[in-house]
Amino acid sequence: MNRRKIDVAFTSLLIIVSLVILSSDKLVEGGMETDLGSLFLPRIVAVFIILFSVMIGIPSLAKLLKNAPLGGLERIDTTGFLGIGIYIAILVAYWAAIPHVGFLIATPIAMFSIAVLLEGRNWPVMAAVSVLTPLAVYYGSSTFLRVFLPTWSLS
Amino acid sequence: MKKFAQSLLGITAAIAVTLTAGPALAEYPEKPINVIVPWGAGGDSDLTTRLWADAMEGILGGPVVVINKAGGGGVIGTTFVANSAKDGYTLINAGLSNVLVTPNFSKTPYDFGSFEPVVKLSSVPLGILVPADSPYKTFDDLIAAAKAGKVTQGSWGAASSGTVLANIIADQAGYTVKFVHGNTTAESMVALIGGHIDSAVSFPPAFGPHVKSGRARLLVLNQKMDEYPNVPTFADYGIKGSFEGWSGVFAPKGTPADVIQKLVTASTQAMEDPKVRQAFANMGANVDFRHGDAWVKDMLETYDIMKDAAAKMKQ
Amino acid sequence: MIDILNNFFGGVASVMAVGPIAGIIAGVCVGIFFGAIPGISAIMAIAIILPLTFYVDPIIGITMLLAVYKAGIYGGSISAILINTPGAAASFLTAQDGHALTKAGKAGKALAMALYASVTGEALATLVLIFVAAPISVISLQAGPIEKVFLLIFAFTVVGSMTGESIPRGILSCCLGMLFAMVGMSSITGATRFTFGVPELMSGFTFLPLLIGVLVMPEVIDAIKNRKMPHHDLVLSKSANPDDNRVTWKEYRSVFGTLIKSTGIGTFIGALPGLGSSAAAFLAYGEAKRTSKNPEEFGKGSLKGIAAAESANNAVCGSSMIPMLTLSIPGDDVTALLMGAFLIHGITPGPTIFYEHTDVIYAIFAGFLITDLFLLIIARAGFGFWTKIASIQRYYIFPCVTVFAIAGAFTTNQDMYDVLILICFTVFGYGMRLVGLNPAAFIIGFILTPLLEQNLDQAIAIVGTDYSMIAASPFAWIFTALSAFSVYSAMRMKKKGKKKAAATQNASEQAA
Repeated sequence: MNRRKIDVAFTSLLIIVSLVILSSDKLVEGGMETDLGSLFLPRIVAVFIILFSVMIGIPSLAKLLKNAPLGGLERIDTTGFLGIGIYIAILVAYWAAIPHVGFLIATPIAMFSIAVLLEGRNWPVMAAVSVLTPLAVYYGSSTFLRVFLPTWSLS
Repeated sequence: MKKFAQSLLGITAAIAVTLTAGPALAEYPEKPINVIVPWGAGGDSDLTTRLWADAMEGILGGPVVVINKAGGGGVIGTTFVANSAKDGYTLINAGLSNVLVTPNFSKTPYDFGSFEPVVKLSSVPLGILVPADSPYKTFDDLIAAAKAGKVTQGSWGAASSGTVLANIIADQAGYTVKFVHGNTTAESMVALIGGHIDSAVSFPPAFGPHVKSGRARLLVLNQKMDEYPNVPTFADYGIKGSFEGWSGVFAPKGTPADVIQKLVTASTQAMEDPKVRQAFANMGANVDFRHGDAWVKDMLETYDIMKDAAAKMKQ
Repeated sequence: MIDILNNFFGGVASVMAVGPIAGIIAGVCVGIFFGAIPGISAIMAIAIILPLTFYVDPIIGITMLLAVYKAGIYGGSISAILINTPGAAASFLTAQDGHALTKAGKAGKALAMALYASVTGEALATLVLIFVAAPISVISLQAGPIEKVFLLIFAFTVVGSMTGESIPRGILSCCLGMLFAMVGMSSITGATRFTFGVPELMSGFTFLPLLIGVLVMPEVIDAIKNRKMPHHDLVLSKSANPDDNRVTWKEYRSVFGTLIKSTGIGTFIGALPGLGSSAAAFLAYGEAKRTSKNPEEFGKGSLKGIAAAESANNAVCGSSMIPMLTLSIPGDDVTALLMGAFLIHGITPGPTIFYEHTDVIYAIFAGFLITDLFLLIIARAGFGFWTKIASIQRYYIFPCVTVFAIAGAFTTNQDMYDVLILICFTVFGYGMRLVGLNPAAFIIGFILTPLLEQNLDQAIAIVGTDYSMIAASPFAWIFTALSAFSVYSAMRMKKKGKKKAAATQNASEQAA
């Protein structure tokens, strides 16, 4: 994958966001007035972002138009990206499931899926790790940290 | 048959209770009680709440867990409790700033009415201080200087309880100051004893050590304190009102009355423990244990004062 | 001086009892354990243990709390070195160099260097605390808001020395961090910024989930991306040469200068209330890199890099006690909790503490030094066990890291919303890696911005219309000069690096 295209895309996005910060007054609500003002620092940062986005975006755009050969850092290796997508999907599903089925049920499933995703094929050990770790984390955090991870609820 | 039906009903109810661990019944508390402190760990309201929670745990026989949910000037943690289950298992460490001041100054998703006051634990009187080498020997000196020119005053946040109280005082005495906003009471004391600001408003847990060591001079205080017998009060200067920070415990509105009653009873016992009282005193906080209608009425009065002050300051 | 020594030896005698020693050992073990789990911070461990210390003897209680703190900070470097999952911003630097060494089969060397650097930094800072606390605290008081603004601007320039592939990308990463730091309700004005009406955004982005998402999780994603690669290609077995798994005396001596300098930086930053250990570690690392003969080694397994980051980081533990004990000013949340522990025991920190509670305070000081000794022994004993972690199959390690990260994100506020932040910043952090943005610079921006804004606001209120006040402070001049120098040397280093790279490229082309 050509990183220059991504460079151009994300720097343009950042420039647009910064322009909104510079021009809009609706981003701040309520509060009291102080000497500095709530938008002073954000606007300075926005100016810097525009400056450096241009410094990154323009050379990338120029090279993209000239079709110059890709340097070592400019080629993004996309092998294995599908796995990353699956991993993020597992995380989101896990996050959504915890409040309903509880930590102790959601976690072994998530851990086991990630282990399978990582090409683990040693089923009994993987199953044992996936069940014992959540138990240890759950009871460890409730007894030592006094953090009570979500349990399943009927509601 | 009727008896059988009754006992069946009883058993089902019992099972339902044990399964869902839901609404508080006679058994309260049957799971950990969470007390949210809307500030970072280590502040004075955090410490008073931790002491209280530790004592409550022994009395109630179940865990009372203190959780710091800091951020957004106390609004985040307070909002969280306002929106949580009304079963008495989620309580908030309330104080002047998060339930009486902030709702009037910022856009908050909760108000004073979103809570059921449980108990007030302690209070700390507001004081005004100057550095030890300051030319202002009395509060009158400071007033005169502030009327004549620029005097800076340390506080903690433009919409914080400190600034609001200081503004009400300044308004009544007829002077104006330039506020320098630290993050905490401790931070503004640093700027004060470093000589970077002319005066500061603060509470005893933060200024006590500095007054004791002679690096800061306490000019005026909300009420007479045994530790500072010679310091005049605001009333001596004809300033009306009560200027104190306090720390207490609130529950979300709609929490069953018997749960609140149980918490009040347990707190009464906890706050009578001499060890707890000594620990509060060591920190510089007065044990000011209150509950019930008279207390709520006082708070509502303060709420109205804050509302007026907010309207004035926002102009 | 003689008095101090007398008091100190009295302190050693009273701390050498069963209670305090047991407390220290327990504290060190708990600290290492919690510190090593990515996702649990030292502050949490201390807040949890605090109630245990309410009613025990302060000598036991406070030394135990501090043992947890010190060991927790060292513990963070273990997981950083072995599986590249830094649990704190300061350990990020240790992870860069330490994990490079682990990959080369020298995990033992990296762990030993981190431990020796931590203990050296801590012990030296504690000695400073014991013998010269009072004068240092007087100097630190001189630093008001105006001076701190200049110090912070200087701290921002270290971004220049860790920009990775290009300076604009490094600075852009830092700016993004600054922007994210400003989301939520401002503690100064009470105004809500960039929340777009979402109530959850009012608290801003919780630091710990953001940190784990940006620093720890990309490592898990990398493992998933390379999942088809056979295991033995990724993990090199332990090097056979025993010298590769320990720090030789010669090596320790070669980094000693760096250790002293970094400890100095850490002690200074720690003594100024409110700046914290991450700023110290980054400044020390930048300084070590700048003055190094071969700066290109940094980030690729440099012992000096580990030494600088760890000693500065740990020196802050000792010296942040200086303003707390002598002026009763807590510089960060950990010292605030420790000060609370003192207050609850009826000991009011302040200059009088040294006269009123001489026995207790010197016993605690002695406890601090003894903690370092125990940390050295206990941590050293664990090396053999820990280095094995690095060679465990990744399909056991990374599911566990994921769960620790998620549980850790949840524990900060006990809120599922923080877990969502973690997931979002995992994606964001990996995206930053892809386009060559620097996560360390991002974190620096995120940490320093609230401090900068607060101090800038105070400074402006103090200065008012009297602009000469800005130039009146010697601090201001010193830090402006340092900033300019730092920017200049970062640019020169970049040029040199380019020349060197070009030269090697030419050489290889000629050879071909």
